[in-house]
Amino acid sequence: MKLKLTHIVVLLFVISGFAQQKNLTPAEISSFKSEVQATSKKIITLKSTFVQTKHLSFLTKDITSVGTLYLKANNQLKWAYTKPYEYSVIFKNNTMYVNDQGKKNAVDMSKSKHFEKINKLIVGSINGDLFDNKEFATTYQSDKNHIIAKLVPKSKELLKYIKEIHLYFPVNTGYVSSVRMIEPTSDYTQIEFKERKVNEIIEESVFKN
Amino acid sequence: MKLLKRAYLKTSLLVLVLSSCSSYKPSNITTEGLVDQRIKNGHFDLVDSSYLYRVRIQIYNENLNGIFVVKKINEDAHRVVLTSDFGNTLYDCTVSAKKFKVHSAVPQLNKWMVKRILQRDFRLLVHSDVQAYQKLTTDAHDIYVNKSKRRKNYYSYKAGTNELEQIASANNRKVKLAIDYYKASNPIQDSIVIQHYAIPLKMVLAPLQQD
Repeated sequence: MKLKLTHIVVLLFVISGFAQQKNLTPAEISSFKSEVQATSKKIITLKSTFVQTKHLSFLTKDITSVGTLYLKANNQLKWAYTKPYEYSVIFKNNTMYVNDQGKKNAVDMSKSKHFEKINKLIVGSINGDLFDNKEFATTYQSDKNHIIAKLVPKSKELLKYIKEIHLYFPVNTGYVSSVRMIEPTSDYTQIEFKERKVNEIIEESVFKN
Repeated sequence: MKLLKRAYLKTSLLVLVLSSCSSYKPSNITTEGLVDQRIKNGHFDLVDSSYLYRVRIQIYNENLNGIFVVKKINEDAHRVVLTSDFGNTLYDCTVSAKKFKVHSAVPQLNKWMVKRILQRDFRLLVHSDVQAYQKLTTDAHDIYVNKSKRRKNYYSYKAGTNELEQIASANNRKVKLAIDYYKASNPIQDSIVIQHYAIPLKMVLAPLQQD
């Protein structure tokens, strides 16, 4: 009998865990999309610090990197990692510029569809354009504090790299606060955006390698 | 005269063949002898400990950077993972003395040739317990020789210590791969260099500090 009670208690916990996320109705989805689009339309520049954690199931502690993201609406994007090492990547004019602790190089993205896809994923996950990306099937859920857009790649090719992308939007904000990229093995990379500053002047020199 | 010429040509050819077959041996050997001994690579030897590195890979004219993770998961096996700087896993495998299991690999690295190279490199890099059959000494090093398929692996320890400084993997004629473990006065500046000589491939690992 005791065992049965334990089972019931565990089951209740599991059910309540699932119940924390509920599917959005079509009306809620439409309203949410409008909110995100309205927010992203207002973005001319965006600067945000971020914490990136890499979760590998066999490690007891996640691997953490921190840095600052710079975005200009004219498709200029920079990831500047500061810890545990200095490293930056600039995406602009179909080119990826890398600065690895002073060692610089450039990769022509038009020659590499893979990098082009990465760039689209990154920019799209910030400005919400990913919802209309034909390469993903998107579902929408919500919990107490967030609306969560869950994107599953449709192509077998992309599924080899990524199983799902989860975008977390704090309720009533229309912007992304966190992105989780889940790999086929269920290991994942999570990027939490903090200290978000919208439409402050970002000097052009920031996007020079 | 013709016979003499033919004999001369044959002799030259034989000398050429014999000289090109002379087997590889480290230089400046002072003593050598047979042993039957287990030797240790202490660099990734703590079970359940994780080792994090920043990795820079040069292959042909391409550069690839990322994070390199090693964890000794039991007495015989290590989990080895290579990720990009953005965090996505590029290669994830378990390597033990006899087995090599790939858990995941991005399509560009999911190739038979890549697996063959990484299997050899990673096994040599992390495998802790090795059977040696020969010991060579130089003024600076005690070198233990291990046989693995068609290669001989030369484990060079700083003379009189158990500090492994280099593993050189050679076929009969020359070194094909060398792994150098560089120790600095500040452990943050330690590094490991994996250098191939048969293909233009070099991997440099520098320890990664996590708060």
